[in-house]
Amino acid sequence: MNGSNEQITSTQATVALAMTVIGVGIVTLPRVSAEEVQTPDIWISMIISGGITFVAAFFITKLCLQFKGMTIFQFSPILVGKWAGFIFNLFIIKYFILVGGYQARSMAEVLRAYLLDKTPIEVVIIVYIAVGVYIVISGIYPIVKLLQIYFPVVLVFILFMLGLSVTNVDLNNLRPILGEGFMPVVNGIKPTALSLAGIESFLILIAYMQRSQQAMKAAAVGLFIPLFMYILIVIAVVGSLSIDEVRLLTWPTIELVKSIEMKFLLLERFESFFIILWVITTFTSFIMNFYFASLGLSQVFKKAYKPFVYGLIPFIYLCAMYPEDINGVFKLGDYIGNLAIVITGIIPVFFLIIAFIRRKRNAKN
Amino acid sequence: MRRIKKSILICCCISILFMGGCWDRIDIEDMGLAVGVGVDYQEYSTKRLTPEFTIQSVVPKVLAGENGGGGSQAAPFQNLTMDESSLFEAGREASTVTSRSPNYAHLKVLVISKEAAQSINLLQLLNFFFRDHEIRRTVHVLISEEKASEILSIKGTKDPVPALKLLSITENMETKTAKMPTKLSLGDFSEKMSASSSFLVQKVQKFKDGVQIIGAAVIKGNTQKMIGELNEDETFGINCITGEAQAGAVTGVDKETDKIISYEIDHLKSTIKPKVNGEAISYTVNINTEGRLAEDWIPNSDAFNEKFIRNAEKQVEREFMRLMEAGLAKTQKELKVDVAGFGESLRINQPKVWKKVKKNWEEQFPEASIDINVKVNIKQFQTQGRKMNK
Repeated sequence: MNGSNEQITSTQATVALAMTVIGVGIVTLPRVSAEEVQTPDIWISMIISGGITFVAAFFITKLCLQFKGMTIFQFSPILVGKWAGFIFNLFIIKYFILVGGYQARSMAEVLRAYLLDKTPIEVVIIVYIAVGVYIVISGIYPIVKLLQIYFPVVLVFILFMLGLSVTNVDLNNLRPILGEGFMPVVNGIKPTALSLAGIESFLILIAYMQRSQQAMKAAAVGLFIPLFMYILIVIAVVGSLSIDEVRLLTWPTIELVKSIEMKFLLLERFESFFIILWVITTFTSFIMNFYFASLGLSQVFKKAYKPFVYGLIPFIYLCAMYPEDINGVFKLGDYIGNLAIVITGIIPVFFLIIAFIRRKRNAKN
Repeated sequence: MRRIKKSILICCCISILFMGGCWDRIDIEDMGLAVGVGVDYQEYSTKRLTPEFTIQSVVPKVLAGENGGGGSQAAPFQNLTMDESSLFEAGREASTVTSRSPNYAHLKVLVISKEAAQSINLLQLLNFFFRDHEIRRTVHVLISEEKASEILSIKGTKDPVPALKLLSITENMETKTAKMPTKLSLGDFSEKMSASSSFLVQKVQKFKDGVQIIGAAVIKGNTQKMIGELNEDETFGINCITGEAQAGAVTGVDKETDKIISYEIDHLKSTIKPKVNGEAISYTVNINTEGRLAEDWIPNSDAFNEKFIRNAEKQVEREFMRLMEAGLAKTQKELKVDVAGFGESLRINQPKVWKKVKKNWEEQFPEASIDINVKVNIKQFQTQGRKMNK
């Protein structure tokens, strides 16, 4: 039992993709993209980068469908040779470990800033990883089952929050549209596209799909949900806080939630709910990346799966604790973003071209 | 085997007792809930200007006692005044004199004294409030004529906690009066500051035994200090231009009889249209308001007669014009600030022009010509139409 014999439905694959994509970006995306765009047109950048990600998803799915039932870790040695494949695989595994550590650390930073003042950050991260191990050890099927339970909760709750903040939105903050031409929008494509990183999970997930012919549809829907959510978040945050203000705030989305005041609901302080939700969204991304890294190692070295899960704990912990301060965390985020471009954009296309050339050559022979 | 399992189970259950709990636990009765804070300007002991920080926390026991009719004479609030070089430090110093350290999570009102707002850069002064994670963006900001600590110690008879009383008064802007500018939260404050635009803040002053919120303090975006104030009429005029005046009374004088006509705003819509002609920028402001006739002192007035209504509308329009012109004369010509959103409308409608003038906007703005059109529609005159039958 190495955690790879189980199969998932295409709905589960969709949910898993959506929950992997929705992560840290919820709270940092508005500031990072506002910094680049500087006009209220972030949502247009978001739509464009959504389109770009769909193209990347198309290539990833095309590539994986040529190797039915195999993950990237299994088919890359076949495709580019044993050693090159080995290096590629380690590179991808390193990426997954980094993302896992980054999600854990970002989660802990927000908790420290807003809720758990005196709790040592190390404790928060260790508890988080420990819970992660508990679910990751049992393989893909329990993981996606868990995601299926969380998914509607997260979706409904985020929409509820955004609904409550509608009264704060001032349309003047979103106007003028394209007031300074198209250049600002172009500047915003990179940061907004990075928030949609997570599509690389399909490099592995497709192998476990019962009906892999539906992979294309699953990828499209699974990407559309986070894209739509992020567009709403950007519109709500910029619309209620104004673009200049968003650039000043460390976590603009939480500030937006903090400014919700509903007298008729007899409730304030929605940020407590929001932070719980935020822990869940980072947790789902975290366990997916944790799972991919352990699975990758077990497939690369052709050894049992479970020891790798335990073995990765210190590495993820070290990645999480590596940034010295909050700016270090943001820098790690940028670095991971650049890796994501390589893994979701360049590698699949490169592999596809190789596969194409090889097939041609085989046909000739 | 079974015994071992049982003992493990028991161990687990017992361990819950010791392992449950939270590093960051504070019991609610040990929290000093700060509901209002005041910032005053302190005569400088060093060369630096230092703020004086007043923290008002509620004393829940006394508040609860009132409902039960305990009859205690103690005030339900406690004011602590500290002076330190930073507000944060002053807040921490409060912990040296009270057993309940202040917690700002339920802060409602921030009062800054006029003196402090005029002499200390507000972006610096308020940095603590923008930065601290306990403080919400919805805290209301007021500027006080007298010292903030003084305003915060005036008890109301209906609301025993001064900060909460101030909060309820500010909310009347939406439903009863337009003689104060619209309520301004810390979040709004930060937004205006980040765009370096000028704006109005509600102003509180002593009034007989209590306090009154009337008029406005003008904060200039570039210098981030208070540079002047508006009286009630000027504030009303600006509120009309921005379209914030959704309630309130306007009393015109009938030209013919020299008697008053009072009109109550039910609904007001304002549109600001910029026009760019080469270098010159001009504006047209259209105000359209609907409302009711609330009072008139004209003998033989006959609201059943359409003519009388049309005439009353004219007289009220004149008063609207006067208020708005007064507001503009003060802000545009005298103080040279744009508090009514003229720059904002240029930013939205003519983004290219705005990009050019953005930097020196408030130097250019006083030259802009502004046309105002008012249309008053009296939709009803309530329960009595005539005073006497002819």
